[in-house]
Amino acid sequence: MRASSPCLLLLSGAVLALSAAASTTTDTIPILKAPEAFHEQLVLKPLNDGSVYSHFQFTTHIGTMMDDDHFDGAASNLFKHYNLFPRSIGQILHSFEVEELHLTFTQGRWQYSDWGYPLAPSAGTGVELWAWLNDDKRQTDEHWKGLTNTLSGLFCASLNFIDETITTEPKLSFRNEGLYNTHSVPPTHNNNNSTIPRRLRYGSLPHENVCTENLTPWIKLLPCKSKAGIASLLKSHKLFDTRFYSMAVHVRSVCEDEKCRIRSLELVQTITAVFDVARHDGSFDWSLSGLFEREITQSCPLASTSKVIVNLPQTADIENQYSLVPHPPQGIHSEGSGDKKQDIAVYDLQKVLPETTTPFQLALHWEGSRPKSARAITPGIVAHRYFTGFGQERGGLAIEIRNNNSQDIEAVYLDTLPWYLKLYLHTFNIQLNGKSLDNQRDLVQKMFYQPAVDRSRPAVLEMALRLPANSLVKFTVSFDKVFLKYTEHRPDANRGFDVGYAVITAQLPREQGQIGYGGLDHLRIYQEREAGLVQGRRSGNREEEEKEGETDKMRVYTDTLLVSLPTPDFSMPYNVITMTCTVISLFFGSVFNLMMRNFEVVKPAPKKSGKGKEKAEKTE
Amino acid sequence: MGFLSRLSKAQRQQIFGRFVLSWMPTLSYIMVAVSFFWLLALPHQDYSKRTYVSENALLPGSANVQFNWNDNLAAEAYRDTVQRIASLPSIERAQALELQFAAIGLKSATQNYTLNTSTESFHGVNTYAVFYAPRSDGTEAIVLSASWLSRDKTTNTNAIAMLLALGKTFKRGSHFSKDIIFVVSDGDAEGLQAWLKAYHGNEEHTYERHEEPLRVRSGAIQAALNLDFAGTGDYNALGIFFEGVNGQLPNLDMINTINLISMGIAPVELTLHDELVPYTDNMTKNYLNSLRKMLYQMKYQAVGTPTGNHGLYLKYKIDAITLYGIDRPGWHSHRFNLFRVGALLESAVRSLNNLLEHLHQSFFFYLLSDVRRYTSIGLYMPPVIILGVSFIFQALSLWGLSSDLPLELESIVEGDTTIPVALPYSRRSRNFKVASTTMGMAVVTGAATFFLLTTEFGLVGESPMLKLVASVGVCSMLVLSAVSAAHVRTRIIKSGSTVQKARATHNDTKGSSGSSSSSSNSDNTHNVADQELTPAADWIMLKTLILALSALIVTTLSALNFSLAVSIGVLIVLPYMAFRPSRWTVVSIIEALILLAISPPGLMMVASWWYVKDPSEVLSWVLREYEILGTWLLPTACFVYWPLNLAAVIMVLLPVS
Repeated sequence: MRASSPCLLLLSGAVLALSAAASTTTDTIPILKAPEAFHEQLVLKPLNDGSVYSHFQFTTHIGTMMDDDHFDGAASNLFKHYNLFPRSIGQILHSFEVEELHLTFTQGRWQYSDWGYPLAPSAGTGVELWAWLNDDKRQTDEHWKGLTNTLSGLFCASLNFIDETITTEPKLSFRNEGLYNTHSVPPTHNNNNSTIPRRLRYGSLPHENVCTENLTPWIKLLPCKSKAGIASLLKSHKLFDTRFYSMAVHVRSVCEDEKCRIRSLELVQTITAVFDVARHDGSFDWSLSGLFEREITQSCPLASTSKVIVNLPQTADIENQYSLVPHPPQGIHSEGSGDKKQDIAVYDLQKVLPETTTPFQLALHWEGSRPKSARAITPGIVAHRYFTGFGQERGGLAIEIRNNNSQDIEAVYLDTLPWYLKLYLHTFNIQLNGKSLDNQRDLVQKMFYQPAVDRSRPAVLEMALRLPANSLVKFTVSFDKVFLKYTEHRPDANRGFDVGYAVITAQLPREQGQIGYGGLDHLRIYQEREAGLVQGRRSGNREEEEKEGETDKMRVYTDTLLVSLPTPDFSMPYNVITMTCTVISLFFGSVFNLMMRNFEVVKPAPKKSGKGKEKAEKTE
Repeated sequence: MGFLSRLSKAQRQQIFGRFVLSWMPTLSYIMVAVSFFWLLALPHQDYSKRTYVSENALLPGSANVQFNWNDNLAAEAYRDTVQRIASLPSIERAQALELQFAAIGLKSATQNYTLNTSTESFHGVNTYAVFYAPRSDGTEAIVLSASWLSRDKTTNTNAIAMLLALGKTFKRGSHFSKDIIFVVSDGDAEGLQAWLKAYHGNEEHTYERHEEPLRVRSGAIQAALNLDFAGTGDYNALGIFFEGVNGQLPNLDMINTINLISMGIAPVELTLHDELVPYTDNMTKNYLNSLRKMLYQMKYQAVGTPTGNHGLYLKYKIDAITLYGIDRPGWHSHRFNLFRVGALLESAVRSLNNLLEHLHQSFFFYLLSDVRRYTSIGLYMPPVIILGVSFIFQALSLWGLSSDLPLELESIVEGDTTIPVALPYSRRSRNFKVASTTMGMAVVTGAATFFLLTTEFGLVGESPMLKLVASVGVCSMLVLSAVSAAHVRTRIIKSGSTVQKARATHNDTKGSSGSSSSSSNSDNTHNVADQELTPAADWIMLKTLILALSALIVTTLSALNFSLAVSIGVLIVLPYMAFRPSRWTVVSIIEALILLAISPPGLMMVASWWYVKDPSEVLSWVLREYEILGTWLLPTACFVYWPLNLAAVIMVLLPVS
């Protein structure tokens, strides 16, 4: 009985879609088939330090049912009817003419050197929002403002604080991720002649806390909510007690076939959490019910695919150190070879669950509860950014980027600094492996710098870098700290101001120990329509794959920072002292005046001295 | 209209001038007495208040402590490990410790440093580890540090074991909002200093200082606890050390937090420094105990030396204290072991973890007479200001003596009234050249001694003591030349102006009779104005200058380093105010000798006689503190204190008139 009503809903949806298709066939526009679909996946991977990485991915598609010549983006009649696609998102996209939307809430820090790279593309602490907006009517800024405010209401977050003092428009980073845009398709492709001007808006809030009130609206966007399917594991008690938690909503347009004749709008919702299973007893063993304290009793009936994927640990030297229970019914796939070999176990919940009456169980046991040997992880690029100096007057910023690859890497560095840090670009210095570099051209190939304007826009430093193989590049730059007006301080004035992360975008060769196999867009990995999950994806994008070689586009986020500006003493004694001093000075002034002032009439000239003297006597 | 306004301006000036001349010297001595009594009254119970936690976010001791018996066993196991590796060379034990931290699951690393001062060379390896608080954004951090060497000069075994055990305990929790950094520093203070410099991106790569950049970092450090638990045994009490470099103090809430925890969740006996004082009802004994504790604090503040490694943090605006385990067998209080220490530290870290903002409550200036009593700045500042004002009064009266401007009136007849007006000029010329030249030379000499003491010349047999002897030589040359030049000059002036002088005395008598009769004779008025008095003696001008500068220095220093200002003020106030050249040479020489005794070399001798019996040790200690920690003692002594002292010595040896 429980499953019947969603089924009915799905059926009615299909009927509606069919009728919609039927009605439009009468028009001259050729209609291609693009069904609505929902996919759910859970990727699990044990990490070297005993943590377990879990990545939930829910993908919803809505077909545009149009071909190249007639596609007009988000403004089309796409958003007239909703079955699986959440209406709240659709309306936002429609009313603010959003081409592409990426919103990520993150808590905790991603430890690149321990965990490699995450599957989710954004990992910067706090909230990150970026969107490509239709600039047809030159209303981008209004739309951006509307978008931030609406999302703020939708997700119960302070997104409305992303105002013009924070918003930037990166020139090199955060390119379109949709498949048929200029970024992903070669320029010769006929899709590229799109004349619609688009503009990028990017903003982040580094000190935004993420909690249940953000998760609940996020779950509401799912077709099955958290009632059935993989999403039923989402228990906020456990999710927010993790070392890293990230929750994202990505909307973009994608191609449905190889020639990109059919397109659809794709909504990808991800949750990434890193559980510290070894925290209590030091044991690396874990089970699904232990991690989430919930169970999957059925897959989401609306989902086209519903899968749990385990990236098995990459052990070195000693084989069979662990056992996965139950063993995957289809056996274990292997990806890559040699050091890069990655074993993958896939559980298709739609097949596994109906066979038994018990909930889906999954556990991994280590022999002796701990791995005897693990393959070390060397992420290709690790970045570290920190403030130098002390005191409240001036400071410096240092960025260290380590390239562990044995080849040169092209990377883009993006840094947004608030206006109250006055950067001095002439102090910009580059060190390569500890030595100061005179010729910066080899390393910094392009540099965009937008100077800050007080109280209206941040400073943006964007650089296209060529990082030499196996090198440590260090940038330093000095700044002055601005003395703010006293009303501009926050209520917790002495905490300081948070400065957001820097982002490094790089095309990285596929490395061992890396979670998942992203390729151009990580998000499309596990969403193949065909059953052969991982292989299918590779064959589908074979051309692209071969062209790119074994590389992944990665974004590396640095930690957020705290800067303490000159702060007035807002304390009680300060107020008392100012008050008292004012009163005393007023009192003293008048009393002193009365005591010491002598009122006299100035004698004009010796001749009229007699008159003057009389007046003087009168006044006395 | 006020009372004073009834008088004419000139009359008011005259009254004021008379007051200055007759009362101010007395008044200034009275003020000195008041100041001294006030300072002595400060330790008294009635002048101090009970401490209280001002920062509400701290909530000391309110969190349940997780440190359990298993952690205690772990700490004891770590103690054995630390004991085993303690005797290894620096690099090996640092690496062994790094592995220990890594095994807990913390990111750990080591840092090499080298420091070459003019006399010594230091090399060591620090170990540090960061506990990344889960769920936090890593913008803030708390530091727990321990040095390999305790202040007892034994191995800081328990403290390092405690750091490891705490790392293990913290790893279990997910309630930390700040990262926790564990630092085990090598050497005395230079190790932690190298680490702090590198943490703030100020590492140097010169021959004198070489600090390896850090590989693991966290956010802005909000507070730090430095542990000093020497040996492997139990302790009777917990001592708190808080004095930092150049007399900087941490926020009092740091001490208050430990105080509350030590009374509640982890009961231990708490005291200031390493002195244990039995409880007494006796008023006098209480007073003396308080006085001793206060003097201890003021002594360290005045010389600018930190009482522990916590002192290094304060420069970076990080509040820090040292917790020291006092092992005093036979003391009556209950002994406590690592279990108690662990609970106390965890509770303290939890409390600091609660901080929403950097500690900022107005609790940075205080004198502690007991661990639970403090004297606030409002009470201790006045005596030193009074002292400064007494200098000014003395200088003013001397300045008045050197002139007759406000005293002498001439009368102008206008119609039927006589209006007294002041002379528009002084009849006694003030020769400021000698005084300012002497003072200028003294400052230059002071700078020269500083240069001599801190520069390495590369000569054979070069030692700090030799340099000091050279400095004293330079100084005595200045004194000798200045004094002899002055005497010779007076002789020449005397012999050259005998005739003029005779005429001047004649005029003087006539002039004085004229002004005293206050007749309105215009001839007489002219006489008053015309007559020239003998110029003020050079020593008066010099003494005025010395006193004015002393006032400036004492009051300015009082805001920067109260204890140093008080020490200097108390030391110099009476000699500088009372001493003057005497007609009897013996008196002048005695005065000069007393001034020599309070000169920097003299004080150094006194200190060496009191502490170590070896002057060169004191000198090299001062030099080392300056070179390693950058304390102000040497610069203050050379640029400020010694020049004034030299000028004073010259002053008392100058000719009387």
